[in-house]
Amino acid sequence: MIEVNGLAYQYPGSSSQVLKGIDFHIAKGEIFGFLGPSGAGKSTTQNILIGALKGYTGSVRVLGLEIRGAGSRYYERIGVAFEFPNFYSRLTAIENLQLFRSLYSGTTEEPMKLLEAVGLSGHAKEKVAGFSKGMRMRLNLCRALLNRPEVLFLDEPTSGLDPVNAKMLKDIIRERSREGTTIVLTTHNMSAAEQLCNRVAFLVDGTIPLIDSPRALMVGLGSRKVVVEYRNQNGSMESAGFELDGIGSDPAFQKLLSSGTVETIHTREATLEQIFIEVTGRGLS
Amino acid sequence: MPGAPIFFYDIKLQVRHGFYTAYGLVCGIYILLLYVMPASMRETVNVLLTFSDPSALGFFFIGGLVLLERGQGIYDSLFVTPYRLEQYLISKTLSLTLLSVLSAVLIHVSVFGFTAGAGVLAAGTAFTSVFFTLLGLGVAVKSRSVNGFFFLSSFYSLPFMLPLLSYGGFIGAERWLLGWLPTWGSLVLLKSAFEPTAAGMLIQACLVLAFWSVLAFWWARRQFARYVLAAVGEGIQ
Ligand SMILES: Nc1ncnc2c1ncn2[C@@H]1O[C@H](COP(=O)(O)OP(=O)(O)OP(=O)(O)O)[C@@H](O)[C@H]1O
Ligand SMILES: [Mg+2]
Repeated sequence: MIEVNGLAYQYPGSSSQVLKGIDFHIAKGEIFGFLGPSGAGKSTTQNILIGALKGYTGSVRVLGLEIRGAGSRYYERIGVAFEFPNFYSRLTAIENLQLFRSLYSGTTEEPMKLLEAVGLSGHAKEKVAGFSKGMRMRLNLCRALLNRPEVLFLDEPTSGLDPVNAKMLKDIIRERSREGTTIVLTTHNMSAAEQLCNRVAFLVDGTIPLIDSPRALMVGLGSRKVVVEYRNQNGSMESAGFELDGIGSDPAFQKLLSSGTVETIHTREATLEQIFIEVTGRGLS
Repeated sequence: MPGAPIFFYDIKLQVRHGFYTAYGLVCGIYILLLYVMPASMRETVNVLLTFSDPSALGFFFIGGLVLLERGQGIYDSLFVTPYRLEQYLISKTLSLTLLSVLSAVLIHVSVFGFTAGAGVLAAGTAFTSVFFTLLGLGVAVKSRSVNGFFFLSSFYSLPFMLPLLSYGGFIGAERWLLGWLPTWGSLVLLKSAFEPTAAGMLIQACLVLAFWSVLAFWWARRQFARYVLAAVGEGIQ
């Protein structure tokens, strides 16, 4: 679906490369996330993938097309939600969607249905000028979905959303991916990436040191330990760590289990954030 | 043609931003002005008003629209759709031209009735509006603010006002001096609504306006690609 090989990019007039020969492949229906600190080149990568920046070297193929030569036909097949959800503020939500819908010649979605899906149908006839950031973010996703895109590009899709709306958007994104839409998202938000992405790529200084599924990363790079919290004789909390390997025959572990004082048991997995720091030697923000 | 309905949204947008109200007001004032002045001056003043209407208003209104769309950060999302720059330019230009022609005809007809000259007046207004809208668009995409736009606009539009200086007498020797300017063509067409004009003059007027309109389209497209499309994805908060 998306095949990128040896992609390098240098902004005109700039003396150094922003992307230094990156490679990645994204399969149909996959949710693929780019994670990286500010200035790593996430937006640059997305802008190349959507055909806005043309002067790259290497090969970028999306939907079987080399992006360098892709024209307006390409835009019939992709959907893009930029980080800043901008609209015609004097038009209503539904008018904005109708306007953007009129730009496509292929099959499109009914704007009202999209608004319903993100819980905005009650605000369809209100001017966007009065919308909150969260409402605009939801409308932004609707706009990107208008043309039933085969590939969906989302920049920070859950930023500025409360947990309920963030979950709603994540559910929609997952549903689209199940229906076969390929989804590429960029984010600083590790937990959103952890919950949504089939695979993530760490992008640092224009290189990709690691691509894997969040689950594999967390399990593979976490220290394989079990932490047990229990109450001691005085009734205060204490914790003890045990090696996960051979834990079934560890006498100290078994004694603690049968003592009846155990409050919690957790494996200690690394969070995506910790892994990121470990791999790249850098924080995310 | 995909993108054709955008024309109607462009008009809707102009209505929402009060363009039609503003033009309505201006028309009202112009009509009143024409009624109260001595009848002998009406024709000349009608030509000058009709000239200033698309050339000045069209120019500033497109500037306003571009600064507004840019300020609202619309371009990023607009140009990751199949919408092409040429369609955008055509839709913007024609929608504003429609407004100019409507108001020019309204003013003329309210004062002089349905004269035979109304047609050529409408044509002159349309041509002038197309040229100045594209010129204003090209200037606006370069400007970072309203003040910047006003500053730049005097540079770009003043040379085109030269034929006004000799208004009245220019149909003589000035034809060869100023006859290559689009606004010379505008004045010839508008004036011909009131007086018989040689076919050669009319043809020259149309040719020179058509030539400058094509040039303005090409220039506006280049400016837009350079200042707007190159910045897609940079984001405006
Ligand atoms: N138009 C431009 N011209 C020159 N350099 C640019 C331009 N846009 C971005 N850069 C530089 O390219 C690098 C990568 O920027 P990019 O916007 O891709 O980062 P990012 O990973 O999206 O960051 P963020 O998380 O802040 O959005 C930065 O060093 C930035 O300064
Ligand atoms: Mg970015």
